[in-house]
Amino acid sequence: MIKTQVLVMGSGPGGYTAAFRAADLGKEVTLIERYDSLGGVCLNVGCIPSKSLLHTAEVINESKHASELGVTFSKPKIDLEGVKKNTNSIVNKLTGGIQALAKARKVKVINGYAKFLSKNQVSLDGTDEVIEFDQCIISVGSRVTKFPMFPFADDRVMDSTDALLLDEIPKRMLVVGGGIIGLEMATIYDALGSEITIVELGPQIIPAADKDIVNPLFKKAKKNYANIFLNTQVTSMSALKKGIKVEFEGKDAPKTDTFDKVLIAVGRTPNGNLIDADKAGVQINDNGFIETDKQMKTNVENIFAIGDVVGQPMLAHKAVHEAKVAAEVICGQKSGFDVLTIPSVAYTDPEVAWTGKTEKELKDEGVNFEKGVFPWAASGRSLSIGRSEGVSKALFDSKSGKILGMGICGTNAGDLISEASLAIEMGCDMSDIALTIHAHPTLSETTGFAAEMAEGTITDLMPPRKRK
Amino acid sequence: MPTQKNVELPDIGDFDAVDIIEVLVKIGDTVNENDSIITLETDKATMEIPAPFSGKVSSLSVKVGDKVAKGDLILILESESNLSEDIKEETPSTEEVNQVSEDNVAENTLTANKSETDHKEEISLSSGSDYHASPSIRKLARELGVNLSGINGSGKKGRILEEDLKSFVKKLVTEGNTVEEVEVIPLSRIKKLSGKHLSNAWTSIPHVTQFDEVNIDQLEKFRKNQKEKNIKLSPLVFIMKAVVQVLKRYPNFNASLDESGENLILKKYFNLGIAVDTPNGLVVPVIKDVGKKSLMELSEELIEISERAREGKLDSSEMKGAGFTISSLGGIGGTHFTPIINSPEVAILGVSRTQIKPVWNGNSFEPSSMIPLALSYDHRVIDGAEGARFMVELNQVLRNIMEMLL
Repeated sequence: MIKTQVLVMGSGPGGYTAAFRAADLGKEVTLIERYDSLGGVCLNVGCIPSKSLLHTAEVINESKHASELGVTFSKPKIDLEGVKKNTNSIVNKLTGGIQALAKARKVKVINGYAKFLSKNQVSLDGTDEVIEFDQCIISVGSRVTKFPMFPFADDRVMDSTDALLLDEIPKRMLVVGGGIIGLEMATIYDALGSEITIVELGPQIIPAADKDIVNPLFKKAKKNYANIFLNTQVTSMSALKKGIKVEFEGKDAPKTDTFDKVLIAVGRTPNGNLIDADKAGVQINDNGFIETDKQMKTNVENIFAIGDVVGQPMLAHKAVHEAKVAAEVICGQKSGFDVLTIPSVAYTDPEVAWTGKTEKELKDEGVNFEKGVFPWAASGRSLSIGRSEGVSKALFDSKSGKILGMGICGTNAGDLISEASLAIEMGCDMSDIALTIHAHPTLSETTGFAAEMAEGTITDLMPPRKRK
Repeated sequence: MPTQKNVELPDIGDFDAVDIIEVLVKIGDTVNENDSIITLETDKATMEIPAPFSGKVSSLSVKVGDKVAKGDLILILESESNLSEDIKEETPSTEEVNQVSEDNVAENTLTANKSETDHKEEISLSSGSDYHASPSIRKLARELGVNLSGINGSGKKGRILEEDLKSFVKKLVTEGNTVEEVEVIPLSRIKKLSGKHLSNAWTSIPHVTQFDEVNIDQLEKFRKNQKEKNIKLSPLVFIMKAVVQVLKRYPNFNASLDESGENLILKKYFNLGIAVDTPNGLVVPVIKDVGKKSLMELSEELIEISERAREGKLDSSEMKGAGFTISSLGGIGGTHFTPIINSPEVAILGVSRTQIKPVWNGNSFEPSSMIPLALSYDHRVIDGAEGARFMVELNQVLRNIMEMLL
């Protein structure tokens, strides 16, 4: 029997953060991971490898357009093994780093699949090993939802994890789901030479974001990809010898088409029901999530839960902040998860990022707001890097001028959005942002310009309404 | 009369044919000023075109896919009739202009007020958090266990600062955290009116209060004798009589200071204000020509006017024209109090409860009825010596009631 003060189940960004923070605050911590490598989905089969591959895609795309800059490269030769090797080396560097940090903090790492025996014990699946703990942090994440209508048994039907393995570059590929994951994978496979079709049930790609923010990406994708079918449902999918036959139901889509490979990028399911949580008395709601309070406590006093397993949005940066709260509360601090915004980013080309309220949310809530929209066609920096399609939109309370939300589409939007997140947390006004000197020429300038558009103080464009 | 007005494409820059990729309104929609009506797309960017004013869409001249340029008709908005003056196309005659513009001012003000109120409602509906605190302040609040929604922020636009949090906690520590039950009730109309008057008098008049105690054995003996004959006289009527006697010798006390504060207005009549406690608050009816009235008459009038005061039936004319005021709390108790001058008068006499006290008569202590008096006077008008003399004289008259006859 192993005894520990704090047991952390799962070593994704939430899990290892919780383990490290609790250790730093003086607890004896055990971190359990069912896979060989630490870091969870994010580091191993999610955020990090996809970003590495997206960088590869970016280099390929940039080289294609280099002729416009007066530099011509020959057609790239793609060595899939080399691409994979690069991605793996980045993943290994990061997961190895976590391993080293765990060791430095004397966090005990155990490889195994833990399931609850009681509210103070877990067993390691397939062994006699029992671990007893004072407090537990459940950070077991989520998995791809395997809808039975998709023939996942066939190798040609992939989920995002399969797609990241880059087994081959299909000639014609269908991406089911026009959300962030689907679009990122489409970007990668498009650059590597696949002919992409995207099918999305909703009326726009990235349905959570405002349409005007997604539009520059949509236009570019529409030009590059074979098809984007919106308002379209996949009604059946069957594995034939010559390919995966897919039937569609939608105004613009054909009745049926056959693809060499299909990526299913719709939905993730929380893993709460895979750990015998009931034996600890931890309740799981109808959607499979473990409900917690603002201190990340479950209904069982000594058991906490964080990350994908406690609810949407399933984002690593949310999990990391929740992890710190849980660890600090366990260590007697009065922490709580009370942020005003969790930013979202699609690392597509161009990137799409938003934070705070979207315009459609404000409209639904009946809030009086003003917006400042700055088209990147007027950004010197954006034009200098050969891009003119971006847009920055800032939303402000029309009475107080306080920033309510921001959406950006364009190169590095994911990096640019942090300024708006900070502004929201600090309660900045339109003029706070407009009067902050943004270095010229930068892409970050566009955030200042968006605020100036709302204020009417812009000079790089015609102000949309009377100058204040 | 609803007015139709064309909405044309404004100057959007150096483009002559721009694609409409979205029409955001349909016929019958009501749009507000600055609501987006169509989305245009150039090869560089997309832009939403806002409505230049509010109204109802009565016709649409464009559809998705159309190419438009500056000045092209987009749609026609039907404005509300009460705004029609605003957008009248024809130039009115000069005479009309004045009138129209004045009307407009009124209307615009009305509209502005209205939208402001609407706005406020929407804000309060829209979000649960009506305060702002930065992440570090929220952290501090968590650590201190303070609910930020209960704090009034002193920062810009009500932002809660670290100092606000600290002073809130300090207050809790010093005053205790127990939530005592409270009830908010509005002040009575009389208290609201007199309150303003009193605080004005208290802050603008330099008050001095002179105390004394008067041996009223003689007066009490006389009252007792009368009582046996079933004639009830309160000490107050004697005091009124005595005050008038002394006021005759000290006319500065039967006076008021004019608004400039430079002239004293001496009253040649002897009207006394008498403070009366009523269920709704303090009122001061005026007994006129006290000098000319007998003790009996004064007593009857006092009873009658006090009764009507308590019933709230006094006429405002009955509370005007006093030269000096007496406030008697003798019926209730207490030893001394400092009355506030009923401005613009310059002095007031406070009367407390009579007590039997041992008084040295030269040989022994003798039980005597002593009545406490307090004279507050306006030091701008009356000097200390004059105040003391007034009190000594009043004491004299009250002590020897025969002097009232002088």
